[in-house]
Amino acid sequence: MSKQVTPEAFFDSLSLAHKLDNFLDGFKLEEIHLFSYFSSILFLYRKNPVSDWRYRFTISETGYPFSEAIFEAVTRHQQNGLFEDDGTFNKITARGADEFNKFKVLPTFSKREEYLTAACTTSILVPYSQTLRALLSDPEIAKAKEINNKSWLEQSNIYQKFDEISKEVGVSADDLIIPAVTWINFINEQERIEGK
Amino acid sequence: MQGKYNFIKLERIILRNFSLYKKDGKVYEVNEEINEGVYCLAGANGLGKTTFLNAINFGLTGIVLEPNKEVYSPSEIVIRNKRYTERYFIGRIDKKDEDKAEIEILFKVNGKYFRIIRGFFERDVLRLLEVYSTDNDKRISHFKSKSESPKELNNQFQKLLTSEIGFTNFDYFVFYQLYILTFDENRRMIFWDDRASSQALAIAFNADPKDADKILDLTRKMEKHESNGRNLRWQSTQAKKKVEELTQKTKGKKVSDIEDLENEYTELYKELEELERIFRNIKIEYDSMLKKQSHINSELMQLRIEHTRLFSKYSKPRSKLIENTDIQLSIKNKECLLCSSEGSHIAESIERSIYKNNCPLCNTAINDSNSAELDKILKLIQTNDEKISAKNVELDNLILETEGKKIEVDKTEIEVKKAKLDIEEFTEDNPDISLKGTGNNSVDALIKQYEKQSELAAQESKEEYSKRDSLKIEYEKLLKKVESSYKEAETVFVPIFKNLAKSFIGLDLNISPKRSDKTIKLVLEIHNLARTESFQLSESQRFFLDIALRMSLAIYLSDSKDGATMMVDTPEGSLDIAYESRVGRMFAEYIINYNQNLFMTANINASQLLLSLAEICGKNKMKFRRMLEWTDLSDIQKEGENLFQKVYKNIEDALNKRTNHEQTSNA
Repeated sequence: MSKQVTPEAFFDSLSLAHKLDNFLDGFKLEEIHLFSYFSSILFLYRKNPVSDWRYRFTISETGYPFSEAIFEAVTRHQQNGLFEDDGTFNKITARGADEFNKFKVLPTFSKREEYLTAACTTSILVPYSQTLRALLSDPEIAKAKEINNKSWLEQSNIYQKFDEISKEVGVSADDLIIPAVTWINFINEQERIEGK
Repeated sequence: MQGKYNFIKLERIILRNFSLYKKDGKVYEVNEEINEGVYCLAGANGLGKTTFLNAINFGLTGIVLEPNKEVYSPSEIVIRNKRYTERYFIGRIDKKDEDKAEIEILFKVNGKYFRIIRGFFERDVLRLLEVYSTDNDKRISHFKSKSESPKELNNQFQKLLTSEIGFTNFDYFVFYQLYILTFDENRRMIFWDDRASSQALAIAFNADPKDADKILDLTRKMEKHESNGRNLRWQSTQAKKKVEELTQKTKGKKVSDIEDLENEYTELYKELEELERIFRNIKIEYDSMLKKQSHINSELMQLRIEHTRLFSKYSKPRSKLIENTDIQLSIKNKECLLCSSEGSHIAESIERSIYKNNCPLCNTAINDSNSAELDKILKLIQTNDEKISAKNVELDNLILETEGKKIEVDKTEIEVKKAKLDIEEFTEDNPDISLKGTGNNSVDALIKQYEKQSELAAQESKEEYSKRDSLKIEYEKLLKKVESSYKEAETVFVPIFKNLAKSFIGLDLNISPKRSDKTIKLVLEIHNLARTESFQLSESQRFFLDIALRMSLAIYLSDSKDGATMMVDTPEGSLDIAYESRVGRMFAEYIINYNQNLFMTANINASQLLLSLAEICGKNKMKFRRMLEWTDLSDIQKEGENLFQKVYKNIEDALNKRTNHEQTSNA
């Protein structure tokens, strides 16, 4: 295999699969991309430089954020029997969960866990469909989709908006889940008003 | 360059009529044989330990260094310390003994014995000089005084000693003996003094001794030109002020006090120089941090590349069956190649078996031969990940520290600018005012005279500065040579220092030469970061690191046969007990592993140091002397000596224990 795998994407996809499978009972592959994108937004919200996330996103034809690195990692997980397709959804296999447990203790990954966990936890606190809708209606994604832009998603606008909302409702920056949920609710509310 | 000097080894010291050491009203004649290894003179405070050390250095060089003064270049030492030396023994020696008081030193250098006698109040003459060697107990004389005058004897002594050591000039011996080979906390340290450091380097690391001469000569000349330039500028300003004074006087205005102005001006200059020095040092540190940052970044990049490679290897498809063409065909066509059944469930079923590592046909579990290899890769990933994580932490800390340093750099830069501005303002506030004549002819003539003088001085000042700058070119060239000689010597010299410093401070320290526009000096690095300012280490740590540096220079430069003799007036107090025994180990390292000699004084405070030194050296390599019988003790000193009694016994025990141990193991 000539292609290289990005260690962070290797881990993130495994970790997200593990969580989404637990919370939602199976996942679609584009959801791995979507939630890793969400995690990276939370990562930026904590004032980390975007380059430290170590892989970036474009927009896919279906309008989901898409990362080449995640795609490559997911392909390998499938080939090695870490992910399994049951016809409708993907599931993480016992071997996959085993692999996740092996890697989550590594110091460079354990830091990412905080963001991955926060992103997935929102899907328990808010109905999943709402999370999905909020994430996909993020203006930047919407715009990229509209003009069919294949370049990297900027990620700075969304993070700024996010920051503004958090400040507005006065949540502490120490916490990740509350601002994440607030943000999702905000976007949905806005959608609802605009829809009206 | 290594081992290029034959340093002296003390053999015997005799003090006659030295009335500082008086027991029951009678002068005690000190007659000490100095052994190989450590000679340690111990006693309570105030008994005259430091004086003994100074007396020996006086005997050898004719000079006692004045404490707490700047470091002088070799040619200035005598002139600057002459007066202090002449006063030093007054009061230490009774008036009536002054003529008779003398020191006799027997020492060995380059296989020859020197015996000299110098009166304590006869700085630049010798009473006796004998030079001889021995061959099977037969004494071969190389010099014996006949009818030479004491002054001539002293000249002979300086000439012979200089040539036996290998120096080109007796002044260098004086510099090395007093500044490098003698440590005394009240005299300057090498690391933290630009001049001491640069001169020690120039003498130590020069292939051609003439270059050292030239460097020191140029330093002197450049400093002279600079100071002339400054003085002339001052004169020029003064003359201008006189003009102003005269003009204003005729206008009936009050003038400010010239002397005050002069002081103010000097102060402003001093401040500017000090700030510029600090700025240079901080800049060196800051640059070194930036260098280190990019170094870590590139290390991190390497580690990340390795990480990616390992992960790619780890996540390679594992099952060999997936590469099987029949299976691939079946999956692709969704048709079983055995029974020809069709449908997407065929592909799924085959894949499921493969993922479970079972054969799709007979369902046998396939022996996973590559799991051992995967474990190996996983271990490598873990190690690599730890490294990345550690490097990240290191980088984060360094970035934080660098940011702080940058603020320091900026702040100091502003301060330097401000100091320059102050000087400018000062000159503006005291300007050459425009003259329209005062109407008084004689005053006008005087004013003209002063104006002329001012212009002339300003012109001459400029010339002095340009003379200095013209010397700079050659000076730079010579410094470059020192730098490159140092680079050659580094492979031998630096490990010696590292070894000694590590045995003391437990950290990997490094030293490297750093060039600034004015000078070259040795800079100490901890964790690869330059430390130029002395306040970043505790005082006692600084003392002993400075001793480590001196020891390294001594080891590096001395001929391996006899080694050099370091004279250490052990700094008092302030060291942690843990560090004390580490110092003892460092000293022992210097003596035993590098075959050198140490002449030291110590008081009771340093007992842990002495104990660990004694434990390693044993009686064969260490002599421990108390000053009890040398002098009458005051009540407080008696108390001190009583306390010492116990410590003394412990040290004696340690010495004997080691010696017995050696005898047993020899037997």
